[in-house]
Amino acid sequence: MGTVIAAYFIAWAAVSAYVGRLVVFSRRLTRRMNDLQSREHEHSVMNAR
Amino acid sequence: MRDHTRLAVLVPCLLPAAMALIFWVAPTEATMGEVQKILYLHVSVAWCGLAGCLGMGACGAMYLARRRTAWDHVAQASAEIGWLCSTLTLVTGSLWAHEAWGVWWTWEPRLTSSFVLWLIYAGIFLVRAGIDDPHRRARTGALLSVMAVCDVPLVVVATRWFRGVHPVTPDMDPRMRAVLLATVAGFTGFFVMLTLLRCRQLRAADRVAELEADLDVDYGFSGERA
Amino acid sequence: MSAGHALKSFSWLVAKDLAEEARGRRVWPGMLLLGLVLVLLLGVQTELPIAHKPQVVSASLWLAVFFAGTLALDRSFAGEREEGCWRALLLYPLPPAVIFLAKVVVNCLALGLLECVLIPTFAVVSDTPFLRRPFSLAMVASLGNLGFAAVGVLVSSLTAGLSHRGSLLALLLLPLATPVMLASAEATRLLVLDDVGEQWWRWVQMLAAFVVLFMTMGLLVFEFAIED
Repeated sequence: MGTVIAAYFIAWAAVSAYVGRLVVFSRRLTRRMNDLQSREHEHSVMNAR
Repeated sequence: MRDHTRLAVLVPCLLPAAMALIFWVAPTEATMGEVQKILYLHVSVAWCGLAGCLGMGACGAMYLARRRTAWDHVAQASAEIGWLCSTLTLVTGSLWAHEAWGVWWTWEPRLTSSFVLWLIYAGIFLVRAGIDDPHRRARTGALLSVMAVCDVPLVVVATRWFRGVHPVTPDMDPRMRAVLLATVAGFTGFFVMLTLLRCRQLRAADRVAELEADLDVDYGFSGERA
Repeated sequence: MSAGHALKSFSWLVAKDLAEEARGRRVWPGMLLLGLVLVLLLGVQTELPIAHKPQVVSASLWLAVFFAGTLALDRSFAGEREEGCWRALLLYPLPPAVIFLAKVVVNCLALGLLECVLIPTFAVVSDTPFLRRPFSLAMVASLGNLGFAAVGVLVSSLTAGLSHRGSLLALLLLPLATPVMLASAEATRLLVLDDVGEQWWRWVQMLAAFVVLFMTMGLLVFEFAIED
């Protein structure tokens, strides 16, 4: 039974690690996206003047 | 972009349901006892690993034909998930082999071809990571994926001629078969959802890279590396 | 493009590569030497029981041949790219399929030369009767070379511009070429055991199937591989 639990645990750990990596990357992307969009806004405001 | 939130919430619920089925509903097998329950996990991830390879190859072919980056995103996402599943197949298979056959590894046809598939996936990732230009990366990845898809059936055939036959599913208790199908469906749905989410993320990364280029800023997103 | 023109271009390309190698002698000597080093490493094992020997030795032979062969494949495109001749070659009115075929043939010749040196050496070093049936062995070797060269040229064209070219080529090529190696090793083992029956034909058919598959694929997708 230990082997079965080990197998399922390893699968869960691997998938969670991958999903965790996706989540971290998403957060980074969102931060950068917001930052860039505010810069873009600044640029267009300055160009409009 | 379609909103996958409902899917993202519903699909993962399939997995605990599958677990419940495996451990409470499926009967224990006579010869191997509890260890046989690895079967449900092993078959599911093995199937997903193969499906990932097929998806990667098909999307690669579509990219070469149409040259739309969306196809490359799906190919890359399929490759990542497929590789993850392939790794899990080898690990769970090895654990099961140790219990059932007494050895961690043997050069059975299925094991050999699974290992070859894993190596091909790893090679494709390494090559993609080494190319900066996104179009060249996509094209190289697509070509290698197409070659991989053509090659894997040949490896299966060759190794089947070479050595005996991997234990094919024997007659199963109908309840076991039902649980197996349910688990495979559950895992497939879960990994398909993950692939879609990863695609969306790759599209967003591309969009960020475009914005960077427009604003002449470099945050290091230009070209998402595998 | 007429068939005559294609044939002329093909022979010109093959002659060009062979002439370059004959004059520069950059790749083939290194490849032969690597093959011999591998023979040494693989052959210096302790004595094997007679029962297992044909299998182990056949597999070792083909491993040595194909691993040394990756050196030749690695340099197929690298030489032209380094000298800037690649662009010139692409500007000629040649169909990509002709370039592919020419490269495959040149690499087949390189592998053939390697086998001419390694097979007798292996036969002597491991005391195995490889040359019992020379024509059958030549057939197996030719098919194996064609298959390996076809997939090798494709992969080499993809990795040509990259930094860790050599290691990536071996990493990608050897798993993809597993059916060739398996089939060649098995067919050779049966030849050593003098068992040229139905089993042996199956392996030869397997090799032929692989050759057809990868040559077809190469002819179809090579233009995508070499575009910039």
